[in-house]
Amino acid sequence: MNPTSSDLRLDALLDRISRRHFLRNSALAAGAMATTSIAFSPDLSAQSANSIRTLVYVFLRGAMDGLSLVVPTGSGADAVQYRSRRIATRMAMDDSTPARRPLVLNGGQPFGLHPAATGLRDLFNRAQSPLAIIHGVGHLDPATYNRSHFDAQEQVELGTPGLQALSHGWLSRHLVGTTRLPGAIFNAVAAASMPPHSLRGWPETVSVTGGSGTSGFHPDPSGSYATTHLRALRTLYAGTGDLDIAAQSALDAVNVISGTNFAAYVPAGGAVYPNTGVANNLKLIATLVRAQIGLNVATVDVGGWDTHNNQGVFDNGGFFTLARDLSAALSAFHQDMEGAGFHQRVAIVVQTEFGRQVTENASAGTDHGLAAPMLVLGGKVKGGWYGQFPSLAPSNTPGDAVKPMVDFRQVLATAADKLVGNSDPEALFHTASSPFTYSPMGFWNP
Amino acid sequence: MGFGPARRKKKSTRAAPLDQVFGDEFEILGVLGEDDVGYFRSLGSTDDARLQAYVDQQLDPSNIDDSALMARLAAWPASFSTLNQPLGTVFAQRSCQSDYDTRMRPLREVEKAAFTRAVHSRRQLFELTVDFWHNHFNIYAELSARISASWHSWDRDVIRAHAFGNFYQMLLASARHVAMLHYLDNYRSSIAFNENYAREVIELHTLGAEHYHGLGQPLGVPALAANPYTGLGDAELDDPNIGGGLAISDPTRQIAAFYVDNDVYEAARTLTGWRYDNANTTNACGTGAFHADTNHHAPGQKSVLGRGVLTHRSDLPAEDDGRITLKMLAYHPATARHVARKLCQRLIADEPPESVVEAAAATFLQYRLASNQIAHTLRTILLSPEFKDPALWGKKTKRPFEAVVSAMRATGCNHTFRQDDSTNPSSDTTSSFLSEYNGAGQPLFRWRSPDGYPDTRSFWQGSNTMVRLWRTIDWLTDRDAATASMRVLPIIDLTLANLQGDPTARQVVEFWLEWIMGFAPDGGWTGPPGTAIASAPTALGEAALRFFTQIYPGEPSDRTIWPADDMPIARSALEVNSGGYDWNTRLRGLVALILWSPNFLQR
Repeated sequence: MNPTSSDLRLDALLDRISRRHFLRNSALAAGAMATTSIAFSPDLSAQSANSIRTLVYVFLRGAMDGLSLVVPTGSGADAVQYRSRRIATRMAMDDSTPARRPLVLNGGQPFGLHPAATGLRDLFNRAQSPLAIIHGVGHLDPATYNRSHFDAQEQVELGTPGLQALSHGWLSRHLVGTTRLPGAIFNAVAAASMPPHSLRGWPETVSVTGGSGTSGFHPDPSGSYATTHLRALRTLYAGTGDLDIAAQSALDAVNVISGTNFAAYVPAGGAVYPNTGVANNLKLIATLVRAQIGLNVATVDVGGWDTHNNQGVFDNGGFFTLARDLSAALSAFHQDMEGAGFHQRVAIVVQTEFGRQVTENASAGTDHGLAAPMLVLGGKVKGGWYGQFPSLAPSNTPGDAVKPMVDFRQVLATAADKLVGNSDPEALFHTASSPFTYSPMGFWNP
Repeated sequence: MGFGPARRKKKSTRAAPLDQVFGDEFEILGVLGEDDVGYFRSLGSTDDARLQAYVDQQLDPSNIDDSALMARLAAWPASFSTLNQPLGTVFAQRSCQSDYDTRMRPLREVEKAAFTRAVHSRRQLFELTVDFWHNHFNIYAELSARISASWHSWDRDVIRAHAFGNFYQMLLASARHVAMLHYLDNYRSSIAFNENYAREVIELHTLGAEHYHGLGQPLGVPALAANPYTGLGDAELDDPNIGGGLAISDPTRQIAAFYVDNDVYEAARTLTGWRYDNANTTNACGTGAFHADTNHHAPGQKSVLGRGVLTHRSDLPAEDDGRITLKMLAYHPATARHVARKLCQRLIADEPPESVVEAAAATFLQYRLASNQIAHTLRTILLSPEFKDPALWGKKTKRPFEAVVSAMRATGCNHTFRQDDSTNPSSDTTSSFLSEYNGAGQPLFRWRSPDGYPDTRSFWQGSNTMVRLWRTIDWLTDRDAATASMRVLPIIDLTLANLQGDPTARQVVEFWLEWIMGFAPDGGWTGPPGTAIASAPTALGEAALRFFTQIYPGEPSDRTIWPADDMPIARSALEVNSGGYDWNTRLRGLVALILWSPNFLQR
């Protein structure tokens, strides 16, 4: 279904807001930049920098098998169902090999964590846990159930179940309602080669990947004339027209990225980021957060979760590696933020476009389902169990999928509102063709 | 008017004196496709005469010899294997296959062909217009195998076949094609209709959202002063039987000036039952051919833009029912304005003067039945005073596709972008190019919503787009630069072919500025020899000369500095880097800088 004209008018309104926003701030930045060649953004008031909050949106692309990350355990009906319908991907507490058993989690619910996710287990089991696990998240309205990766990713990232083709993603709308650091060169980063749908319509987004990718955000990345090239570009675009302002912002962004010594970054709190794609991207984001350049939003994509064939939940198989790397990266990031005193200002939300079916398929893998768990991690998070796990009885599993019990928009709106202070969380998702009434969830501390 | 002038060779009548800035006597013998600047100047003695001659030539593409491009495509038959094959053949082989590469192949081949055609065709206005229509009738080509496996036909039989032709014929072809039937869901619109296609065909393809009257009742919509179909001479619109007793074109009939939601629903009903052949067998996937299925067609009379009065009688055959709707939409004056506005936005400015929009709309409407309606409309725009008005030059920023294609044309690119570009032992040049290019935000045929890539300045001014675009251009200047037979942009070759002996820094800079920008202002870009760099008459000239000499008083340079005039640079040093000068890299960096400039990236 395509948006109606009134939805597109909503888009147009946001377009004017975000463009005005963008140009106004760019003009400020351009003025500040006029006489200084900078490495970082200009000297910003420590006070205002401290009040800036960052939302990190980690998207697991390919539809993660929620039942393999948050594993039903114990003797209850759901766990029995799960174990009876899995073979190669079946995990159980009574496994003769301890390393294959799900990790025990506090909170009195019959679920364990994938055995490789030790970092997340440790966070969840703290006395004041910063990790919330939300069961059964997806699209509530069966008319909007969608098992197409492309459709579902787009609908989730635009924040409109059943609707596609808006020109703004939910994070762009979030940025409109966010406190911005005056003079910030850019306030959104996508750790990817192109900004994701969730940031569609936010022109100042910088996309840069971690590891060796940080040198890629540059007109002439491997060039021997990089410095004079940048200098020449600045003089070519020294006017006051729209293109000049945009180019100056782009060059300022290049300066911020290339002026940040990512290689020399020292994580706080003794955190160690492994050398994996997801960890390198989170470390990049951590570097920018601690540099206090005014980052409000960061996105990370983690691919590979579409495990139709030989899912590999044990012994360094595919899913095992993904779960291990995700857990290690998220834990390192949180430890780093905590050690540096930033954990109250940063929140991570982890989501996938949909989950996978209860019954294993004929190729030791799983096929597309519906609901999956979400994770929310941060210093203001009130950790523990949230949402509602549906019964896995065959009468309650539409198309053999875990039935969605929690609207993903409530999770996102709660995170935007309670964790990073968005001023109008309902406006993030409510539109005529895809209505939404905000009802905050409980995973936050005041 | 195309993707920028091609600059590959200069035909000079004599050797250039070393101390002279290039004058225009050297371009007089320019050949189209090799030196478009020179060619353009050869077309007449005044700008108006030259423009008119060029436009009239370009609007008659079959009389422009494009055999060089054809030979280029024919030289790699495996890379362009589906381009000339019928829809049915390829669709049957590929659309239901489980192998992803098999299903995607036609799309991938057309994507590369689009670059090769845009860079190398002499029918530039045609290629520009093809790009326009691909966006106007946007389809997200990766949405489905039904689309990617029929893309060669969508590109050829719908877009390219009608780009200069008749709008109604193109609209009808688009509505019947499997790619559009699938993309906007009309293939499954049944008696309980799906409004998606009808909504977009009215809102985007024809009348335009600017003619939407909201949730109003049809009777409340203002009527056009006169019935726009009267006197057109269309047999179906003149037939009272089709219109349920009153011909659609009857002068007493009132036709709505705007559309309301009711018109969308009624139009959707007329378009129900339109299908493509999807009959998969063990060995084949169906042909994708169009047919109309009466069993899924909504029965009864309908009223589209009729202000409540019926326009389609009951029991019209499914195929005719929808087709009458498309005719009414195509021939409506609002459509003329909508399409005219978009064409003016493409060619002149984001907000073109109303005067040229009106003029183009009038032409579009006047030639509604003509087989070259669109060519006529383009002519009105391109020969208008608004198009020629210097106050409106530079109003468009080049989107990434236009930017990189014009950059390649301006620097004599000789590469054939193609699927399976494997002659380079280290990597597929076309694939590497596309992964750079796509990061700038305009991957061909991958815009998800039916409105197509935006055509406004602001959309393309994001930091990411600008940096990635600059980076892509830089990549082009560097790719395989060291190997004569493989370099994508023959920068060193053009330099050595057009400069005699050992040139000075200023001569190199003047040459390249004039070459890429297509002209030199009076006094040159950097001024006559001896002009201090800081006194260069143009900002671009100063920046370029400063970069090439690396003279930045008080600031560090990247390489050893060199005077602007006093010392010639050895030709051999330009060919191969040596010492602290790295002239070859510096030369390519100079070209990149000019291609990055606002002078080049706006038009």
